[in-house]
Parts: sequence; structure tokens; C-alpha cells
Amino acid sequence: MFTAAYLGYMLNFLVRNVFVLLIGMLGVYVLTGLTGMFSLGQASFMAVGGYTSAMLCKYYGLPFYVTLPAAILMGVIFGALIGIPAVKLRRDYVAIVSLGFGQALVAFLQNSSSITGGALGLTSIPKYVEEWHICVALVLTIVAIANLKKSRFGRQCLAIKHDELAAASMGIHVARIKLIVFTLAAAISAFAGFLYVHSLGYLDSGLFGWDQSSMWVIIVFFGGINSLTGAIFAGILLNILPEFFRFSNELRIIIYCLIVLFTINFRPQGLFGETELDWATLKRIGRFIIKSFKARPTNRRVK
Amino acid sequence: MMLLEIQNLAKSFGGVKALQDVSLSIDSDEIVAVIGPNGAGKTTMFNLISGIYRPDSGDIVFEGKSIKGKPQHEIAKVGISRTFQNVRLFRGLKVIENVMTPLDALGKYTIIEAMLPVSSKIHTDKTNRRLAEEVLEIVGISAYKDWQPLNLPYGLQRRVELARAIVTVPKLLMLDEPAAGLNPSEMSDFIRLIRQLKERYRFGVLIIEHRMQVVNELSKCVYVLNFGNLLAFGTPNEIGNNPDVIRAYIGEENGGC
Repeated sequence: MFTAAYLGYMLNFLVRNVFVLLIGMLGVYVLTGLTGMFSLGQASFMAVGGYTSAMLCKYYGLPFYVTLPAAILMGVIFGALIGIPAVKLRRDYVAIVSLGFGQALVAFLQNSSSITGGALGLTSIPKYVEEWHICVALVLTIVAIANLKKSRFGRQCLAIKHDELAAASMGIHVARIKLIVFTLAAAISAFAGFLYVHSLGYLDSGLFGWDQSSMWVIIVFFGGINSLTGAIFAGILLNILPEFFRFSNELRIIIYCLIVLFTINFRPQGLFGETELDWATLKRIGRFIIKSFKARPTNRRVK
Repeated sequence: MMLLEIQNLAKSFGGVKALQDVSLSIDSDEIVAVIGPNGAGKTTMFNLISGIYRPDSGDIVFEGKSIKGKPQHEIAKVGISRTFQNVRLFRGLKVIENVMTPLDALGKYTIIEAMLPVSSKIHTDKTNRRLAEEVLEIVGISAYKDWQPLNLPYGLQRRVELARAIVTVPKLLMLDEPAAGLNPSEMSDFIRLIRQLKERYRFGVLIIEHRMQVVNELSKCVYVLNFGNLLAFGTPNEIGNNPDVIRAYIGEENGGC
């Protein structure tokens, strides 16, 4: 089973599928993990980015330095369009609005087959995104989000998430911050859509339905709602898991359900809770290891 | 011109008249207390001033301008900050980050800059952190700056909230039952702290309190609310001897026993 060819295939799968979906999922982390808004249509923003770039590239032959900004720009436009009405609602209604948008978009893509290829999808799109491009993009996205979390926006988002009323009376413009974050999350997912289409060479609107979006929400919750490290860890784990259960698709769904049940019952704060694997945590772990090594000789002397 | 003037303020929730025809004024560098039995409308008044509710009638004038009906974040920006009756700190943010949030709301850099290690962002964050540390030092909890606020004892959580309210140097500070749940020694510390803060920042302080010790020692002027109406106002001494106030708090003397 573990031949070189298989490992090569897995590595390819890890980068081209898992990492790209992970970038898309980080949009959900920004939205749900930082601000507490739920989006059940986040994958549709990935479709926005992917289809924009694919269609510009396929029909007009435009190079990536035009289609990439175009994809992100379309993500921003759609994010703002959905965000403006959504952020004024209570946060559970945001989920419904985004779900509606996501399903409407998928239905549109499937039915206007003359331009989008319909249910068959778009094929033979230029594949110029290499594996290392994706790795660099992933690292840059993670660093950007980690920076964001430590910035004034990150703190305001967490404040809004935990107590909107108190946040507003501290001078935070709640609706504005929410809109900015909603737009940013859409842009991140659109960026992932661009990477996805040019790394695989085809597009299928079925991938961007509510099931993908809700899986992202599950992943972010499983990883720890306040932890970027947790989201990344869970994203890699839960995206690579289906590959090992390829022989049985039903088993995969059962495993997801079990994960959700166990997380809600036994660890509602998620796997990592609020812990980040940053410098301070590493130092703490280091100190703990050193202490436990030092503790050994004294124990022997007592005996 | 007074710092804050409330004119004939009224608010009802359905059939409940939470506040009727209440007027109050406070000048800067002055401590005014609002007292009254439970349900008298004290917190409703605070919520009206800080923009959580919109008044039905009447006006709220701050530094000569009406702030009635403005959204909460704008009211915070003109220089009114408050604490809450039941402490409302942000979970998931450390003590120091809690204190930094009001400064973050005033920050200038954009979301793109926030994601990049640019100097304007780093500089702003550093300045804000230093300001927050200074304020934590003043209220005497700088040792706990990296704690999660919910792990702190209640008295210290109140101090974090106080630090968060004063970090932007407001013109008016509103404290909603700041001494509730404090023991006697914590309470005299607290009274000293409020005096110090007022000396330092020269803001007006509007304070809701049930503990008469706090009211008597701090405030020059006391307003008494009862069932949404203004019952009396005057110096603490006058209020203590006012028969209406005594009746509202203790009840009617029925003479028989």
C-alpha cells in the first residue's frame, strides 16, 4: 500500500485538494472563529472566484495577473452585496441569508449551461498553479490571518463575538466591522477558488453547495472556535480523512456525524479551545518539558 | 454650560413606564450619584444616555449638543463611557486586550494593513498597549494583565471594567453599581480609587449605587429615583433626612406598633 507512487499521489492530493480547500476554509475561520457569524454559503464565494477566473481565462485568454485580481474583486463585490443586508441581522439569520445566496448561485451556475458548462462543469482550463504556489499561498494566508487576529480588527471582532452590546458601548462600530470581515472572508474564499480551478483544470458547481460550506463550519468548530492553529489542524485532518475511507462513502459521513456529536458533548470549545501554537505557547511547553526532566533526579534521591 | 443635561426624559416598555419626566445635570469634575430602590429606572437611564435604548421623549444634551437617538458607538466617541451592573468583559481576550479594545475602535489603520507587518500598525498597537498598561497600573491590576478576565475574582473583574472605561480618557464616566459585591475593605479602596481617578482625569462621574457609604463619601449631589420618577435631589445630608426618600426606601410608618 505504501509504495512511492501512492505516497506521491497522497502528497499531490494533500497539496492540490486539502491545502486549497484549507485556504477556502480559513475564510470561515475569519468569519465564524473571529466574529461569530455563521456562513452556510462560504463555498459559493469560492465558486465566485473560481468561475470568474476560469471564464475570463477560457473565453478571453486573459493571463493570471488579470484573472487573479478579478477573482478576488468579484469575491469582494459579492461579499459586500450579501454582507450589507446580512450584518444588520441577528447572527443566526446571517447563516440563512448566506445559505440562500449559496444555493441560488449554485442553481444559477448549473442552469446557465451555455456559459458555465452547467452540471458538467468547465473543463480544459489552463493549469498553471504549481504545488509550491499553493504552499506559498497557504503560508501567506495563515500569516495574514494570524496578523489580523493580533491587530485592532482581531480584538474588535472577538469583542463583538462575545458581547455585542458591550462592544458597541466601547465605541466599536459593530455593523461596519462585521461588514469588513464578511467581505474579507469572501475575498479569501474567492482566492481559494482561483487556486482550485487553475490547479485542477476543471470546475464543477456541485462542489460549492451548502454541504461543503457546512463542512467548513464543522471543521472550524472541531478545531476550536477561537484557535487558528486548531482550524488548520482540523482542516488538514478532516479533509485528508475521506481519502482513507474511499472504499465507503457512507462511513465517511458517519465519521463526520460522530465527530460533531463528540465535539458538542465532550469538548464544546473545540479541540484546541482558545490555545494558539504561537511563541508563548511553545515557550510554555518547552519550560514544562525542561521541568519534568529536572524533576526526575530529585525523585530518585527521595527514594 | 453643563457637561451633561438630561431634560424631561421618558421611556416606557409596553405598559411599564420605566422612566418619566426625569431631569438631571452634571458638570465636569463633579461626582453625581443616582440612588433608588430596585426597578426605579436607574439602569434604564444609563442605557438611554449610552444609546442602548432610544428615549420616547425628552432630550439628552452633552456639551451643548443633543446626543439623543445616536448609535452607541458614536456616543462612546464623544466621550461617554460606562461600566455595567453585571460585569461584561470580553471572554477570549486577555485583560490587557480587553482594556485595549476602546482604543482599537479609535485606531486608524485599515484591514489590509492589519494583515501585514507594516510599521504604522506596529506603532499604533505598541502605543495602545502602553496606554492600556498605564491604566492597569493606575487601577492596580497590572500584575494580571495576561490573565483571562473570567479567571479573576469578581472585585478585580470590576477593576478591569473600570480600566476599560477610562482608557480613552472620557469626559463623562458612568458607573453602574460599581461597589456591588465588594467587601468593606475593598469598598474603601474603591472609594479612594475613584477619588484618585477624578483628580487625575477631571471627568464627570455619574454613579448608580446602593451602598450609602459610597454615595455619602463621594458625591456632592444625589438624585433619588422611585418608580421611574425623580423623587428628590440634593446633598447626601439633605437626602438622608428627606421624609419622602425614607418612605420610599423603608416604607410608611404605620404608627401602631
